[in-house]
Amino acid sequence: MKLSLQEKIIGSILLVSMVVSVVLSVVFYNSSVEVIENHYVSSVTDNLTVCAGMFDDNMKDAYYVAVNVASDEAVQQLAQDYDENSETELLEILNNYRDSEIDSVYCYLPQKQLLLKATKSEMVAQPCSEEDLAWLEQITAEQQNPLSPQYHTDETELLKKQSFTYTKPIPNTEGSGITADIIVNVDERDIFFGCLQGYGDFSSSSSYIETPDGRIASSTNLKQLGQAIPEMDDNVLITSVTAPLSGYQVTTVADRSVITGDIATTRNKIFLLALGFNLLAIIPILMIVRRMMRPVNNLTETMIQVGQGDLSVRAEIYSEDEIGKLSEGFNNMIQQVEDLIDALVTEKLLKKEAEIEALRYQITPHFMYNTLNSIKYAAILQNASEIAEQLEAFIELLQMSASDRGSFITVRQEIHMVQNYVKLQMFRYANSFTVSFDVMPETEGCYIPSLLLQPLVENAILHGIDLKRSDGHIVVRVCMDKHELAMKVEDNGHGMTQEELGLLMSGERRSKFSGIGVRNVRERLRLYYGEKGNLVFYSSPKQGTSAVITLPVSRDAEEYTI
Amino acid sequence: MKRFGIKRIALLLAMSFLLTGCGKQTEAEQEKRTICVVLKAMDSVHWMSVEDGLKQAANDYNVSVNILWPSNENDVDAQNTILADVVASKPDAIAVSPCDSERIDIMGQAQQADIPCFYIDTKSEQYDFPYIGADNYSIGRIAAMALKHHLGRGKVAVIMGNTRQSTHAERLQGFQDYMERYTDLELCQIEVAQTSSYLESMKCMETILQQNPDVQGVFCTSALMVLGAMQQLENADMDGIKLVGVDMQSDAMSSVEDGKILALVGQNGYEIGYQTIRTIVQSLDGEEIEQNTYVDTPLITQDNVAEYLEKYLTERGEGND
Repeated sequence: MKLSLQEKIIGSILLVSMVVSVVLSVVFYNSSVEVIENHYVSSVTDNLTVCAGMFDDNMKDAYYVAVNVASDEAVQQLAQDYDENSETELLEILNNYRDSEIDSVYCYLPQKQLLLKATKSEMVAQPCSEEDLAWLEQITAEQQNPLSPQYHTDETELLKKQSFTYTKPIPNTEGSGITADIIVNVDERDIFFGCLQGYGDFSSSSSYIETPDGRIASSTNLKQLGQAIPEMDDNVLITSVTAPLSGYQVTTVADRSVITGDIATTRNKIFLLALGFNLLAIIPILMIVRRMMRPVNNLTETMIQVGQGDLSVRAEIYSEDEIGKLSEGFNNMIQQVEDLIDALVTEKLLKKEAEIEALRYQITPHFMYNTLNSIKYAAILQNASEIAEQLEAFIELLQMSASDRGSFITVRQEIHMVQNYVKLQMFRYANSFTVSFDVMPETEGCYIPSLLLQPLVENAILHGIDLKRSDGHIVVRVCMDKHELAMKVEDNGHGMTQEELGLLMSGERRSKFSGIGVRNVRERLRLYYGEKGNLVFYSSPKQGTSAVITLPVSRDAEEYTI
Repeated sequence: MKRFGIKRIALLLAMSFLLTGCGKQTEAEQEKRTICVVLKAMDSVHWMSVEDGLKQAANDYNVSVNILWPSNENDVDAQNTILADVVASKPDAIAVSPCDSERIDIMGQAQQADIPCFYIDTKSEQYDFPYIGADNYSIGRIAAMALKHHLGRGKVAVIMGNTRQSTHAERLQGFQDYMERYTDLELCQIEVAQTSSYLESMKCMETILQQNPDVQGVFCTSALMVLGAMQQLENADMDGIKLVGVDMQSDAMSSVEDGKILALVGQNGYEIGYQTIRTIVQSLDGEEIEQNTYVDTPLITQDNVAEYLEKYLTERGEGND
């Protein structure tokens, strides 16, 4: 997936803020749940402590009844000497011990297998069946913790109900053994309505009393009574308080989702809000990022334009920051490139101009050369051999200039051309001056740009020597050392003043004739050789003038060709 | 970039869940210690104050306290039955206030079962358990001092409670010893009430008045009895006989305020109950405790009764919540 930098930045910001929101809401939720559950547990614990206290008080009352009946001397006596007559009296006493919280008080006489029952509804002496005996045996057996009531189904009643029971033996006063067992029962329903109902009642929760051995002793659901506690899953919060005396546990089971439901809703709200705010935040983020990205985009666009060849454009600099510096650097770079290209183009153009100039020089002499050839033959036919000779030299000169064998020629060829030129000029000025050549033989094979010496010689003839006198003399010298070739054109004319020399050196025109040649020579030297090619004039009034060309030695026609 | 991002987010989330996960703790409530206290009865303000002190201390020291008692102070059999059951229920400690200081054989079973036992309020010579309560001998001395201070010389009588309870015997002993050694008072008569009850005390007072009409001071060894004696004096329309009682309870203190009773040797039931639990918890925690932990037994007279009454009522207020 290709994303722009802008999209990546926005995406990252949103992602981070979403993560932060989610983490915050999760942390908030968890700690809130903890706090709420703790509050819930402590409030439920308080309630359950009250319930457990009430349960214990009820049990304590039943226990006292058992203890008091068992230590009642009248009961002891009647049980000891029991017969039919004492039945009513004993039952009456038992019934007196019974109060609103005590469901029933029994006196079991094991020797007679008789159970005297004082209950809410009746007072009866009931002979025991086998089942009754088994049950009585079981509940009157010695208890692990006599302070804790037994919990069981009363088997001797027609209506089977659950009871909390304390038993106390009445020892035989006339020897060992037991004369009777006192059994005190508290109805589970009484306990349920007295202790659980109204205290443990939280909507969404259910409460029950649990026996020390883990059975349900009292609960809304009658079918659960006496059964083991069902397995609870993780979604419920179980709070228990143990009643200290009886050891029974009062427990409230509440559904976590109900307790913490509100906070879960809040968490979801926070989550949705965070999502909403994040979505809204896209607009300002977009604006800010756009703003921040403007210099980058600008730079990118500029780069693309430059890439397409437009070197004139520049990146706009908005600020002093990294992007600003980047833009500035880029601008400088483009400026340099542009300058370099400009320099290159100018150079190329100049060379072209020079070549075109040279071509123009070539064309004109070509036409003249043909015409002059015809004239030369006419002169031969009319026996004007001197004219024919002059023409011959002139034609050769023109041929040389029109030669298209590149711009570079050998020194020998250049000297030959200069000689032809001098021949023509001597003819024109009636041999009023002399020219001598002093060329080092090693230099003759060196290559130099064509027409380099000729303008200088022309200059010396036209401006250097005094043509009105006949002692004008021009010397052309060519010499070389290892690296440098030097060509000198010397005259013995009237020379130049310092100003004139200055003008000539700077390339200014001195008159309408001179200058073009000199400037042309200098220009070409610079083009071909740069700093290595030079043209220097030495002169003073009455002392003549000498022009010296220095240039690198080259034996290859192509070496300096552009 | 995208992949790194997802990894980082996953890491962040994992860390946050770890962090929040740490917060959830399943605190298993430490099993509370159970201390069983078997008192003599719950028929007087004194015992109710003791119960209050016990409950308040149980709350403060985070222990379970089961408080049991027979129907009255003379039901020795019932108390022994209860004690047997208490021993069988194997509590962490037992504190007992014997109804009969000579019939607590059952405590031998507790000793065998390695259950630490303590005496509260009343002690017995039978077993050598640490005692928390008032110094009863000293109470007798203080009572004697009060009478000496007020009467100087003359006849005094004693109405004492059940002789089976060491408390009363010790108080009498202290009283007698001080009388003989330090006073010119004459102890003319000692009436022993069958039970430490209001009515019994009235009868005793009647007997004393018949046999020693010139008696000037009477020391009653409990608050209930001093109130009974006071009632009898009122019935006989007698005044000038100075009564000294024991125990801090509001009705008796009100009578001190009214001048009907000369003085009470204060025995703060609340303080006894509270100190009992505190001492037992200290002992269970392995700290050395004194063989006898005595609570203050100040002499309360008309001069300072207001202060004690106020303090007493405040403590009751605390105990009731």
